[in-house]
Amino acid sequence: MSLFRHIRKLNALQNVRQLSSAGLKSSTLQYATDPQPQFTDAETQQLLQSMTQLQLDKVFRKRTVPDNSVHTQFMTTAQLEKEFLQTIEKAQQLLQMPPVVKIKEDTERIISKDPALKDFATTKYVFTDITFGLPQSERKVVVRDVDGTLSYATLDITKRMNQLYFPLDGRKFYTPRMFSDEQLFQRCLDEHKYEFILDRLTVQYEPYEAEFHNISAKVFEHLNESKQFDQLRSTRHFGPMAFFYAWHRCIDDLLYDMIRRDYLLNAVQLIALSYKIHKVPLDYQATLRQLEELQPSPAVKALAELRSGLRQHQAKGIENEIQTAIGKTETDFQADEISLRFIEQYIGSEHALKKVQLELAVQTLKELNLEKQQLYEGLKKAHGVQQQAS
Amino acid sequence: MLPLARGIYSNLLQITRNGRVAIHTASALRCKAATEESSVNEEEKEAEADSAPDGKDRTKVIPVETSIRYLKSDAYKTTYGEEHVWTQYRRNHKGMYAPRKTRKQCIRQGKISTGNPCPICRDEYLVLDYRNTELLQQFISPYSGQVLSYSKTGLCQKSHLRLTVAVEQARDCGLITYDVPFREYDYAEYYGKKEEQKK
Amino acid sequence: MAGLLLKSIQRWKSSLRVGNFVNLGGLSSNLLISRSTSFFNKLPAEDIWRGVTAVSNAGKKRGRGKGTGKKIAKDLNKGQAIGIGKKTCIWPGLNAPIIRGNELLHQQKQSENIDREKNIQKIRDSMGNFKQMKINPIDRGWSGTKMPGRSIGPPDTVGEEEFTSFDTFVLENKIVFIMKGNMGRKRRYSVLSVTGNKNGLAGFALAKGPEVRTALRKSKNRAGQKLMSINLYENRTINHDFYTGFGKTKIFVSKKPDGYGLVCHRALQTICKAIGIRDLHAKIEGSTNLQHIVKAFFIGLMRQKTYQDIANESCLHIVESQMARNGYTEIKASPHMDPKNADNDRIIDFMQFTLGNKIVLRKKSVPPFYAQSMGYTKHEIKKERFRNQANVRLHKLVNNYNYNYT
Repeated sequence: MSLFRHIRKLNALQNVRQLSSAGLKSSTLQYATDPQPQFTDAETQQLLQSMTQLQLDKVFRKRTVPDNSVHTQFMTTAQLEKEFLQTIEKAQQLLQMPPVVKIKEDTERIISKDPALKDFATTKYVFTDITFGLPQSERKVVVRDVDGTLSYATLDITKRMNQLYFPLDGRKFYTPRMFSDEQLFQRCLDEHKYEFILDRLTVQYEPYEAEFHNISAKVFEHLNESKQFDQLRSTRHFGPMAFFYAWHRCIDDLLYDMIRRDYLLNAVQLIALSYKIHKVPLDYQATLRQLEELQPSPAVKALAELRSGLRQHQAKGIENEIQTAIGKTETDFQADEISLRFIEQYIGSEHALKKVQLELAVQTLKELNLEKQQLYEGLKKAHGVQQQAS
Repeated sequence: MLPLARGIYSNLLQITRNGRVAIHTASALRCKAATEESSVNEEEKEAEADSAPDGKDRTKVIPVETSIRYLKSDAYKTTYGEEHVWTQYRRNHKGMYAPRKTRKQCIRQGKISTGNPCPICRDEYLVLDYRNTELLQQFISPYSGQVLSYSKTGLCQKSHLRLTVAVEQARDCGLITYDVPFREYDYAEYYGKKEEQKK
Repeated sequence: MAGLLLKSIQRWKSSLRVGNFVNLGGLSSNLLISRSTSFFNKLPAEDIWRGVTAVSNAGKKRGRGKGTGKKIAKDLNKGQAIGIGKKTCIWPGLNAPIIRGNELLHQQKQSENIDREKNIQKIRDSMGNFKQMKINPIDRGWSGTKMPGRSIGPPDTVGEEEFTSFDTFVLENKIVFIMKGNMGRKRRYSVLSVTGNKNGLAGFALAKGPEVRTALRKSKNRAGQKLMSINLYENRTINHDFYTGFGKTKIFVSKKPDGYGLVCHRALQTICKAIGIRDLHAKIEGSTNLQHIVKAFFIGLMRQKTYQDIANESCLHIVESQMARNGYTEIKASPHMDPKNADNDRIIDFMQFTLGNKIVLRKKSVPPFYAQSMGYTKHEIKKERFRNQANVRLHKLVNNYNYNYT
């Protein structure tokens, strides 16, 4: 490891627009214990990914790019198949959730005290290891104080030096006004620019910083009130949001939204996540397993959607047409039944807070489902599909 | 259409400041004076002529709030319609090709110093400020998300600099959203090596 | 011939001088020799004024004096005459005869005319406000006051058929001559124009007429009778890149993404505007004869294939990947028959297919001749210090603002 010496005046660092992040009031909800083990658990991850869903139109929405060229080419079916798999992979990569970790505290770590070096200079010296290819967390940044103490730099200085030598695209040296000013931040929230705030947050702050926790908590709280959860669906922030609500026992609004939009599987998963985090002695795994058998995972669903584009010109069966007209298949109705039972069980328990609202939503959905099912069966009978299916 | 509608607006605000409208203001004023009763003194007439505002004067500071209101007003709509403020503007230049850069500034010593001021300078109610997002948005490309070049909009160099600064400030404040670059996380950095091995 | 003329003029001049001399000499030999006749006392005032203010016929042919004879806002000369002013005065010879009866008139002041000024003002006011028609710079056409590039409105209605939402643009307006047995060189105006509804329906026509206006009208109406339907992609650009030619004109046209604009010959720009194409790049090689360009471009547009046709022809899927959508691939068309599947089938390049195996010559950018010189390297070295100056300046300006959001 080569240590390149780079001298920086600490005073100069502090001169640059010191708008402290203390401008924002801290949010009320915070992770009391380390949420990381719960979050990184394989089951939790799977639940969160499933809840996020994978709507291709939203993941691959049009963005502003300097070069918006379009490349047209010929492909064989085999190549196309490969391309589909790559697309799904890319989508999953774009949906990578920002880590949820506990706030890292600054600790003073002194390497050596050399009183002989006292007053060798009037300013502090910062030494940064700028070896190429090192991960940011392993990059060594040390500070030689005026009194001769050599110590590891604080997190703030480390982040600054990292940004100086290995700039992260989109990160600013100073706190953006949006994050430092209460009024502006509130305005952004009121205009429902949730995805923008969270995107910017991921770029500007590290997940272990207090500001990261504070701002994301505020956004999630505001979302819980405005109930615009659909904005974050199929983005990388949906998972941490659901986790946040489950952790702080306020899933009811999200649950209501999921039921209203007929995402019953997600609703079940959300309840299961909440049970898992708070260690409620209830067997949710069996229900989940049942549902998973009946309904495909979001990636599989997206892949099927991609493939359906291929067979557009092929003649569809009548059954298929009925399904697309109604939007549900037989297995869907089965799955709905199971999930509704599970949700009702939750509503009945002491964990649900907004019981009346949830019950009403479940009731309307049930009626709607019944209507759909009747229509489905009626259509099937009319077209004479019943015999074929049985 | 532009000068005519501008004339309407100037009448609304009782300000005649546009150069192109001002061509006919002198005779118009005299006509008005002639129709008035003959009892009006000569001095009064002179006083009226003096009070006629100079169309090229730009010393008056227009607050941003006025500009924001103007952009929502009917006067703005009659002037520009649904189009951007710069679409109807063409640079004057000799020869086939325009100079690569636009002029340095349209306003010198508080006065419009040119016959064809740039789209921002010609209308004093267009104030470039980070709060005036509706105006700034007209100068941002919907495809690349960048500020449009002055070769396209025809802004003078001074206005263009002011525009870029305002856009940056608005982005800093979160008043204008943009597509934030995607950040890929290396989970090993946050969860430690142990997790990596697990996966 | 010219020499003869010159001689005759000289003779005339000399005779004049002799005549004068004789005349004056008869009176007194002390008097200076002077010319008593000149254009000034021979010609009427009107002709003299015209000589000063107007341009000669020869000059007009050379394009002089274009500014004269224009309509002006107000004719301030109206109601005014020489010799009559604010202070009325008798000027013998100017506003009064020199001799009245047997009496020689003298210069004489008279009472002031009070109403005169008022009357002039009244005349000026009655003239009304004349405003010069101002054309929007966008509608001014390609160049100056010329017709090409300008819009002349939709074609006239034919019976019940109305050309709503159509607009016609002039592409060429020129004078052409033909020889006639009895009239010699006969002058006519030739106009090429294109009309379109900005939604894929367009036509062009060439027409001649004895006057510009008739030629314009004929061309416009004929274009309306020759409409072609053109397949547009997403209602903004062409279906695919193509090569087209007519005579010695070769055009390479390429499809472009949203927001690109029209980067091509001005005639093609105007045609695209009429058709409704918004994004396109075209390079013309060879002859730039305007009529050939127009014909070649329309032929190319008509020969375009749809994605479905291309897919059927090549037995392959056609896929589009967009940079703006993170490289998301979209299937645009699949062949009706079973697509080729084996990898050993040769897969053609899409652009090669659409361009008909032609390749657009892309010239390498050649560094300027001075790039290798000593002076330039020195300049580069000096410039390096300031390479980030603009950014720093912007950054400073951005961060030094008084924040007072309310």
